[in-house]
Amino acid sequence: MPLLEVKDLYLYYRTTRGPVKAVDDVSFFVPEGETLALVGESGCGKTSIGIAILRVLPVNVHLYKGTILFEGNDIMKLNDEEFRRTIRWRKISMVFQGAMNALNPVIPVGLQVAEPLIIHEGMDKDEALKIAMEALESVGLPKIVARRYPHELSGGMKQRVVIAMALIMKPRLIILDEPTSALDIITQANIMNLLKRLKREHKLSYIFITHDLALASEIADRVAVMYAGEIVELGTAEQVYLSPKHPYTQKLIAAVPTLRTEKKLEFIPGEVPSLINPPPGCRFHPRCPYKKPVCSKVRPKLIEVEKDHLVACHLYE
Amino acid sequence: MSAPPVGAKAILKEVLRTKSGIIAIAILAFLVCVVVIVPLYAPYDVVKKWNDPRAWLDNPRCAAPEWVELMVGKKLPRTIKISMEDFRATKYSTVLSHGNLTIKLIRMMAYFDYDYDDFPSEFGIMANMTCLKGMKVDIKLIRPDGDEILLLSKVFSSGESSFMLSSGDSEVKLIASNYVAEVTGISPSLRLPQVILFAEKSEDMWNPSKAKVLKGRYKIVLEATSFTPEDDIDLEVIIYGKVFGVFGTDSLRRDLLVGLLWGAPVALAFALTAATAVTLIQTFLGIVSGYFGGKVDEIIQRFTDLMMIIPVLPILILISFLYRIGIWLLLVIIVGFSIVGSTTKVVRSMVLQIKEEQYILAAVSYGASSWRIIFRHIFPRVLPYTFSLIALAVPSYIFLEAALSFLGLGDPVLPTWGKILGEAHAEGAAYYGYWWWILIPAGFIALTAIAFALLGYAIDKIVNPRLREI
Repeated sequence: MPLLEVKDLYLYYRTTRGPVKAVDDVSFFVPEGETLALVGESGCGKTSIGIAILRVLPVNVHLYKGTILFEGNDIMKLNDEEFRRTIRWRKISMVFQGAMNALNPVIPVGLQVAEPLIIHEGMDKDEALKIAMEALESVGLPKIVARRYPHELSGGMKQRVVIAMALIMKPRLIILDEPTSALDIITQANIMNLLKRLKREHKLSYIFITHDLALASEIADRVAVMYAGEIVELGTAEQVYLSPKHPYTQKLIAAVPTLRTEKKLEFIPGEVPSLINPPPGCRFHPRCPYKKPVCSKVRPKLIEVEKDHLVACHLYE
Repeated sequence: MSAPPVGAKAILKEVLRTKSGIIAIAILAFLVCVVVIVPLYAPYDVVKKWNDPRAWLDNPRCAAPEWVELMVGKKLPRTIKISMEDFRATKYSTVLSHGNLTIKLIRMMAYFDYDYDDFPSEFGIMANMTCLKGMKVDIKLIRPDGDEILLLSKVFSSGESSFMLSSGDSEVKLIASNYVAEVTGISPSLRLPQVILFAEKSEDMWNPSKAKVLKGRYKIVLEATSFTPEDDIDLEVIIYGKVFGVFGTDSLRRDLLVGLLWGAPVALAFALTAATAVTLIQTFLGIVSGYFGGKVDEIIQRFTDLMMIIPVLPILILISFLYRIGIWLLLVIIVGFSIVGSTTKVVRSMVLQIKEEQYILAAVSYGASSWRIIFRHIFPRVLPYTFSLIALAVPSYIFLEAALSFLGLGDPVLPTWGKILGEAHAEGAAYYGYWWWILIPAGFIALTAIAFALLGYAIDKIVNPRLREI
């Protein structure tokens, strides 16, 4: 039984121009102790999957449905209060995009890290702060940082604080939303190493959301490639990186520069479709070089082309 | 952009870096000293007697502050009081008996040295007596040049227990005018006993602008004759001066220092409480409105619009006029009328921005309740801004209280700056030139308002970093 299983998840946002289909019929699972990387370009619905799992929805939700099984229980059936008490941070926590803004500037970081303990465990401030200091140490920060305010810390330190905050309740799954964006490459590498070490030490599972294929390859056991609100390809890291099946994935990997081999960088013609009026049939068909007549009519389903390797493309039917 | 300072200590430190902040803190420190010193100088008992004219009988009426001397270069008269004890010390009485007839003779005398460069403003003589069978009383003033003026010669019938004689009485005026006629041969056109009796003998001794003060030792002698040994009399004389104390007196002889000093804690307590309560309540409702949004937002905002167009001052005047309320009830009513207002709108717009920040989303996701987010994450963010709003709101409440008091609608008991100004206006202080009665309370109001306005600007510069560049 996988730790997390998402089936037929929808999340639409209401706008004046009509619903935005940010997550449109998405299914995947995360086995215990594994990392699933969600990759895709900006605005394809990666972050929406994260907030849909943790149910921190904005006010303008149009449609939110599907099944999310966590340890075999359907957590979509819990009411908000039960969900808040039993799932958030106890089982699933999240590192939000942009650590620069993920900390309140007027509260010392130690207290912010300790907040979930105070809320969920009813601990007093000092006790919670002590545990928060240990958590800060476990992410490689000195204890003294607990008393600092966010503006006194560097970007990398803030990111570590945010990770410590996600760890504080010892969850089983952490959703990492672009945890290294806005960090320089060295700090990025340090954070990635930290994440790997924490995963090993605490037997964590990750959902790693990124637009950076190379970065995802660092940590991912399995990779899900998203395009316009859908998962177009899902497989182990080797499968996706070494033998991409979906034309979009192939184009995407061809567009990534590499240091050691000479290759001409490719680009994908056209532009990202609007999520309000996505193209009919396969959403990638207006940009696809292998387009067939069926592509603009029938929406392809995810099919298993080899073991554990799923692709949504009419080419493989 | 540097991060906003956190905590009251850091804000104070930043405030002291600006010039306006230093001035503001200095004035406020002075006012706080006043507030601390007031109860030592004038305990609350003194204030309770503020509206009781009997408590202030020993002070001159409408006297300027004593330091006026430094400006006019003359020695201005202080008030001289010769108490009953002083007279009693010289009291001499004999009882003569002859058959049925008993006569008691009482004589007492007191003197005072008058060496001021101006005439007294008034004088008064008060006597308490036990008079069973009638008593004849003579009171004489003996001037330094030896002239004796009989101020009173009167037979009191049995049962009378006191009498009063003052420079405003027509008998005394007549005596003074007769004295001038005796000296110069002409009846004066102006009969001011306090001038004539203290002037050097000359043609113009009745004219306060030309007469010269006769300096030296004046004596007051009382002689009484009565018909029983039980009869007795006690005398008190007050020669009212023209200057008094640090801030002078008003037309009811009240020491303005007491009133103005007590005005400081009253004004500060009133304005600070009103400003703090109003700003915090408005801030809170602004946060609630902005954070929850939807119907809550709509209701609070429309209610705010409604309250903002209701003219509060006329309503306050009406309420004060109808019910004669005290200052603290007035405070409650003002706060009640201002639970929503411009701060609600400004804070709401700030919260709309703050609630979209990542750490609020993070707080929601780790399970913080709405109220926890409001008090722990949002309120501290708007708090520094709230400080500057409180400081900037204080002057308007000081003015509001002063305005109501000026209209005679303020607290009926406590002296406040506005009330003192209002009384000065009612008594025509501007017309008579009692400048201290107007300028000093107005100065206190202005000083306090300026202090808080400067403090507000100083805090504003800190919490609003864009202003720093200006």
